[in-house]
Amino acid sequence: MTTPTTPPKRVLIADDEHPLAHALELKLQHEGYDTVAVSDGQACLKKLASDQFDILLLDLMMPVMDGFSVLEQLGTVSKPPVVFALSGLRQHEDEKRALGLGAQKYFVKSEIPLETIVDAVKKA
Amino acid sequence: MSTPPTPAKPEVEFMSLVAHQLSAPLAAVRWYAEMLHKGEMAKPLDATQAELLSEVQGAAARMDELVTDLLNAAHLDQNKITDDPVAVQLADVVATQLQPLSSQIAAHKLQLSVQAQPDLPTLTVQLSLIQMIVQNLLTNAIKYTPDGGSITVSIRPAAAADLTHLKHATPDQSAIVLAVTDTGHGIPAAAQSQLFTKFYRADNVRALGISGSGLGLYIAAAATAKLGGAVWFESQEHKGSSFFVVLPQNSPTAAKL
Repeated sequence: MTTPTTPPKRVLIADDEHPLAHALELKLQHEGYDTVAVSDGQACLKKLASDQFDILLLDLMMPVMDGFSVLEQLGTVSKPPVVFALSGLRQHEDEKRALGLGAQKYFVKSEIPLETIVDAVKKA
Repeated sequence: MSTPPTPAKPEVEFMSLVAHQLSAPLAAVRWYAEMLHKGEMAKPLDATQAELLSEVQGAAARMDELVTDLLNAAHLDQNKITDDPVAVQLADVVATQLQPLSSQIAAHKLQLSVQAQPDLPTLTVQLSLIQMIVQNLLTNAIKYTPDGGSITVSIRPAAAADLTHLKHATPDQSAIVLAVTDTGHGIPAAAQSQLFTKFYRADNVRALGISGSGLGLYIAAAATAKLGGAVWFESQEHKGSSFFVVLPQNSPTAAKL
């Protein structure tokens, strides 16, 4: 008889900077997470409508549809994930707006180590 | 000293654009270097590889500083710093800004002394601006003080002589002075008039190979001006420098609340 194991947490990464999204995928997969990456807000919402994720790492500045619009429309998703907003640089207005729209954390990619994001994902 | 001149709009927009465009690839360099350094994705590095990688990480950290300085300078020039004023104790801001600098202070065997007079009133200011002022003055002192030197930070009520530096001083105005004194390389007399100019770096520190964006003091001065304060310095080459910032208890933005 096999022991039932908990399926890995699923993380959706929405970031149009492919090297950054790839780094997040590599690190999270190494830590045992199941990851999917998309490169714009519209693809992100489409993925959330068809698939379920525990955590969304959401870049705020993306083509087609930005991260703020994704946050505004997350209410339409049946089981919305926990959202961590990712910003290129620190902008106090963006931080306030993203947290106000429901993001649980706001990370500045240019300031923090990858490990900090992974630690937050582990604690989510 | 006078308020830094307002830069031309295209220059500011260019700085902001450069900062944004550099930030993502730079974060990628740091994150991949971090993964290599931790040795999680591949075999652990040998000593030479680890040394080369730490050079990459050091260079990326210096570029990070430059990007942050470019963005802060652009935001100051564009009046894009809009966080609400809050009441803060200057000593608390200094303590917070010193935390991430403690390893550098220890690595360079610098003697740090912080002297804050008790019962000082709070300042009502935009936190991001006061952080920029304190962070840049501290970083400056650390960067330009040779190993084994000393840095003294003092916080005290403004005296009548300090208030003369303010543009719109009134005799009963309550203000606080932050002074950062170091035993560093000092500023050559010929360089002193240009010190707060954007991208300016004195020849003596350039010759020593000390890296810097030339924006730190510009940012400190511009942020001080936005808070209705003034900045000045006293310096002697080879002996050290003292930078002084006087800030009114309520910044002009706080007065509008």
